[in-house]
Amino acid sequence: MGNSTSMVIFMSAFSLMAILMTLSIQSIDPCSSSLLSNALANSTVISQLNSDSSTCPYNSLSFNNNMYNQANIQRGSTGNMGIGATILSIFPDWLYTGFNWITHSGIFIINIIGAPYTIAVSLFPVQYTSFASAIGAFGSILFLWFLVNWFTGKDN
Amino acid sequence: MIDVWTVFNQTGSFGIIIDSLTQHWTGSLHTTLIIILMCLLLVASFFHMPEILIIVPLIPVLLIFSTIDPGLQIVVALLSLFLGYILYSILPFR
Repeated sequence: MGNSTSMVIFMSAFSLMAILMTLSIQSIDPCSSSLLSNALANSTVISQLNSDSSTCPYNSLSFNNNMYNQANIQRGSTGNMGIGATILSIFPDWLYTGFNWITHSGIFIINIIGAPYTIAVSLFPVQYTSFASAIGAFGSILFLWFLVNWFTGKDN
Repeated sequence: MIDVWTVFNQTGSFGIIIDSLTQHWTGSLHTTLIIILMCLLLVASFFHMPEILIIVPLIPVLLIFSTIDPGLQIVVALLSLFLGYILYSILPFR
């Protein structure tokens, strides 16, 4: 462990990065699909992804792509649901009526390995999906490495 | 007419437990979730689990939940600071 000054500087820089990212993304593109910036800016976009009444301004970056065509999106669509729908379909409700260790260990490990990918894809707007996927895949492999080291008793 | 089995099948064991703790003990959802989070961290520390494997998966979930329950925003902020501390401990440039 280094000295506490550099630790405080690193943690402050880490927080400032999120704040700067939020301010810059929200100023350039108020309708951005970036999860972190939406959450920090208390934006209504995150909770109204499929609503017709949007407060997003006309002619902003994501308006024409995501908001203007919302009236044509089918409600209750099963498209774009990804791995969540897959997991829900292979683990039906009646399986949860009891607690079994196989299922919940699997969910635990799937969540840990999938989290860096989810975060990376959520951090960036939808236009940068391939870039975010590369970072997320790296993070997932890194977490798999941490997990294996933990299982084998190497403790980081 | 909603019967108890419909509710159970829609919420599951964890939903029932969280609801019960909120109604009969803590009084607010974010307090229940914070207590569960503390217990999770305690159990993980018993098994020498790396903190980053617990903290990182929780952040997107808590971000989503914090749009419903703003009381969780402070938890997200504290977890982010803790994540900064963990990354500082792991990364080689310190």
